[in-house]
Amino acid sequence: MKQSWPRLLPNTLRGKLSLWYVGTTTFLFLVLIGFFSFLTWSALNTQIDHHIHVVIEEARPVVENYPTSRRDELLKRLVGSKGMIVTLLSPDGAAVVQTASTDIALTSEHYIQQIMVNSNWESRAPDHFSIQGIRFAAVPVSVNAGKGILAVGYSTDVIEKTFRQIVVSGTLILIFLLTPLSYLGYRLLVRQLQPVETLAISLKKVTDPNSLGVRIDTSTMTQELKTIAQAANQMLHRLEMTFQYEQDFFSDAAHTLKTPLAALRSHVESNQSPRKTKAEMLASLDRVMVTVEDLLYMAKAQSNSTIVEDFSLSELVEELGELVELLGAEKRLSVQSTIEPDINFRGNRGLIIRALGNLVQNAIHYSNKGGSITIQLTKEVSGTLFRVSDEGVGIDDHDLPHIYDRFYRGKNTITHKGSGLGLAISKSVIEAHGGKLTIESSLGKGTKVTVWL
Amino acid sequence: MIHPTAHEAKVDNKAIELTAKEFAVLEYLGRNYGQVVTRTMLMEQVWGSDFETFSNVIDVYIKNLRNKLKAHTDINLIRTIRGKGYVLKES
Repeated sequence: MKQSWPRLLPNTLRGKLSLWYVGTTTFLFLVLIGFFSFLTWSALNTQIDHHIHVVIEEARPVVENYPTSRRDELLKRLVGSKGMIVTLLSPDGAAVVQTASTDIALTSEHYIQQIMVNSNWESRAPDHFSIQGIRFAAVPVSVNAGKGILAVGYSTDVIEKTFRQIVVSGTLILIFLLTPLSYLGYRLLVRQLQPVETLAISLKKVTDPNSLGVRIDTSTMTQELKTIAQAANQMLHRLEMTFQYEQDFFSDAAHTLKTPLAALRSHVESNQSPRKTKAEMLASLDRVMVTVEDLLYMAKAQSNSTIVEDFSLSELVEELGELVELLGAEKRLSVQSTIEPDINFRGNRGLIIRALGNLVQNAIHYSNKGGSITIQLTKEVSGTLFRVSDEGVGIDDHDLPHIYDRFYRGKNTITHKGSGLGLAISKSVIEAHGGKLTIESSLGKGTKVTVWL
Repeated sequence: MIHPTAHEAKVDNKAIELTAKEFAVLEYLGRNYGQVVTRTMLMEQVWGSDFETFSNVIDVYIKNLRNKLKAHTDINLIRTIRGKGYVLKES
């Protein structure tokens, strides 16, 4: 039984809506036809009853006031002129006057006799009844000094026939109207639902990462569909970015590793002045090692970023300051720290150390001998501010937009070893913790790194 | 002589003034006497593994330790093993 349902009911939105639309229209039409039929039918009946009533009231004095010979003649003429039939029964139940056809007369006489028995003189209101398509009204009258009964009947056949015709034509009109209406409604639905299909077709085209560039045209869509389509477009955009990121990452990583390895290869091949070559080879190897370590760290960081704890940011930055002082001693750097105590933070401590650590290490790396580094950690209205400033080599305006790119290394960095991943790691960690990283720099004057947490 | 509980180091019975981190480096080298200790191992011991990226600070500690020891003895107690790390050994 359950399996036969899908075959009975369409399972497309289009089919369901069409069915609903046609069903509702038919139902409404039928209710309307039924209602008007009932109204017309009862109005007609009331009208007929009233008509008969008028005639019977005119006929009664004729029966009661005229002598028998005149009475029958007058009665037939009066009632006949209105297209009605008349029956007059004498007190013994025999028909004195009868204009109905024989078969109707038989049944109606029997009925009228019963009314005569049951009716009383006082109530002079006529009894109404229908027999074989004829509407009757009967009243007691005095016939031959006794209680007789006068009945007047009017055939409703013609009216019923007309009425049936009205109902039939109404139904026919309904069918003739419904067919084009259903067709039009269906066409309209198809047109309105076209964007849904376009949406589905567009999304079906996305079968592999290369087809993520597909975007759905929302210009012709209604508001509801636009929301869905826009959400799909945004999702496609994010997916595309992620895939692009992954692709770039692999190619960047490969290129970064390739350069020192190629250098290493040429050193091994040439085999000249062993002492100098060995140092260069080690430098190349160190670069490879640093890059590989950073890559591993990034992979680890992504899986560890969900482990969070509360820790003192003030203590952490103080430790970083201590490290900067120790490491900067060789370059005779002076370190000024302004660290507000008791600033706490919730996040992954290891990742934050790495992120802020990269920034202070950069400050040491790019400082000139005898320069100074300022470390600041303060609670501001808009959040916690961490700032590292140096008076070092600075960053070229040309390089500034690219410093967050993975593996990007500006012109001034040639003398420093590094993977080019440091700032990218810092930025992604800080942003993952809901923070913001900005860098201001001028070539030869120094760099100021600001972190809002 | 290294006294871990007293946080005190002595050479020929004369105490050497060390910072807490310097002492920790020396202590760890002492515990692994005669064995090569890498910078990463020392860094984990002294600062914790989260600060691994700063492992070159170990070189600074070693330099400071050597300078302080030099005042008391002519023997180079801490030796550098190139590409590997450091070892504490007499002679």
